[in-house]
Amino acid sequence: MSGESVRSLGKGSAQPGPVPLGVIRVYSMRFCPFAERTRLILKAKGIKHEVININLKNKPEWFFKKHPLGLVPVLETSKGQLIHESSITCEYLDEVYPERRLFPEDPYEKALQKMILELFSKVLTRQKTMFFGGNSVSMIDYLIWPWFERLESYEIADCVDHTPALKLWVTTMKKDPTVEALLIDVKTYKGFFDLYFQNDPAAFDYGL
Amino acid sequence: MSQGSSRSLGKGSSPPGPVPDGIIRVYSMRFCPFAERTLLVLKAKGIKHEIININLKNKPEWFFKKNPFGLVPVLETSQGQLIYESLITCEYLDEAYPGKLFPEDPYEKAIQKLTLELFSKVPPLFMNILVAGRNGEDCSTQKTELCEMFSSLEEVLTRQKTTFFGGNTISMIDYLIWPWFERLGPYGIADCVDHTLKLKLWIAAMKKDPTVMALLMEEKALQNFLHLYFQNSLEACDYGL
Repeated sequence: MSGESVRSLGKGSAQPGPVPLGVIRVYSMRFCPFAERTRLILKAKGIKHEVININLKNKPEWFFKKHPLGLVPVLETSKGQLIHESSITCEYLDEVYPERRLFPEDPYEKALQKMILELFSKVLTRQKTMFFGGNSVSMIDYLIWPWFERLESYEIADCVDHTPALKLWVTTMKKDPTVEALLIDVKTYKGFFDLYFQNDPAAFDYGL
Repeated sequence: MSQGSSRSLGKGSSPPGPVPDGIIRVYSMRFCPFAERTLLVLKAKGIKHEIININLKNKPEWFFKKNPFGLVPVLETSQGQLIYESLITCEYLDEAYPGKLFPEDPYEKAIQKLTLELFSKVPPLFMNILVAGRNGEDCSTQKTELCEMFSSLEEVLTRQKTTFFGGNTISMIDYLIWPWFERLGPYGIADCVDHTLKLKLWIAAMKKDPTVMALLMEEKALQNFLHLYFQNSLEACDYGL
């Protein structure tokens, strides 16, 4: 389970070899919220995986064979199968690795979570439970978490001030072991953003 | 118990009662391509259902309790559960009822969803072209973009060497994208598939599928609907009845 702090691969880097049996690979970027969705699911479900970070301002030529537009996240299996689009990767993982199912089994409850995902920003009035899927953390919480994690670094944390239920959800999520394990502190985010907006390719390896 | 040809309900209509046991209800509109996805899946899987058509130019107030966005399609179960967003309704039906249209293999299913992502720019492009056409504006940029999209889909069929998008038999992905191809003629863009031969063959194969055939709309009826719809006519949704 290597590589969560591994330097990103950029132009001129050697293409990684095939994915070993028993492992799944995710092409990622440490600060990307979409890729974080996939990493949250991998962690929450205890899936053996390896992470290869991509320098998104200096993409390796071989990466376009993994994704036509060179976007993260991308999953690669030991059979060389490639899956991209963050929510599709998350659903794929939930189906292939049945231990600790994150989507509900009931088709209606599952459909409800998908509708909530669609309504991301309008979901507040529906929330009557601790988490978006019930009283324990499930798929929908992980799918929307990365944006709330970044509220403070974007300096818009006061967005949740008048939504106490949502504020409480943010606090509770920070105590979830999976979220805790992947949490990046505000200082590091700020460091990344400063370099990123200066178009500095070193941004992606900030803090390493 | 399908009432696909019933008059639509509009403002001032009484809300329908609860859905009887053993049946699922779909709120629809006869000419809506998104609702057609759900109807295709209901038909293909042989699911007992009833259809309530909504007048989208004169929506009943009660309809916003079924979907706060006031859009079709919406599914309602006999337990009063409501599901909207066309793709979500189709996935729900595939999971809740036997006879899978999506592949069982998670990777193959993910590939179908990626093909759908590839297709996702098509509906807004269709809309832009239609609106531009009606306003007498030039839509050559959009048409070029559409042709590029169709080329990407052509590449999928070429790479896979299959008749349909999910293999050599029809499956979910084909039904999800079909309604727009059904409308190429009425939208005046049939020439956009001129250079995509496999796609043209796929269209022909789709027209032979019993489910597609059962719901196939007359080109003239679609054209007349569009004409009335753009004039904001309250009668548009019931054209032909």
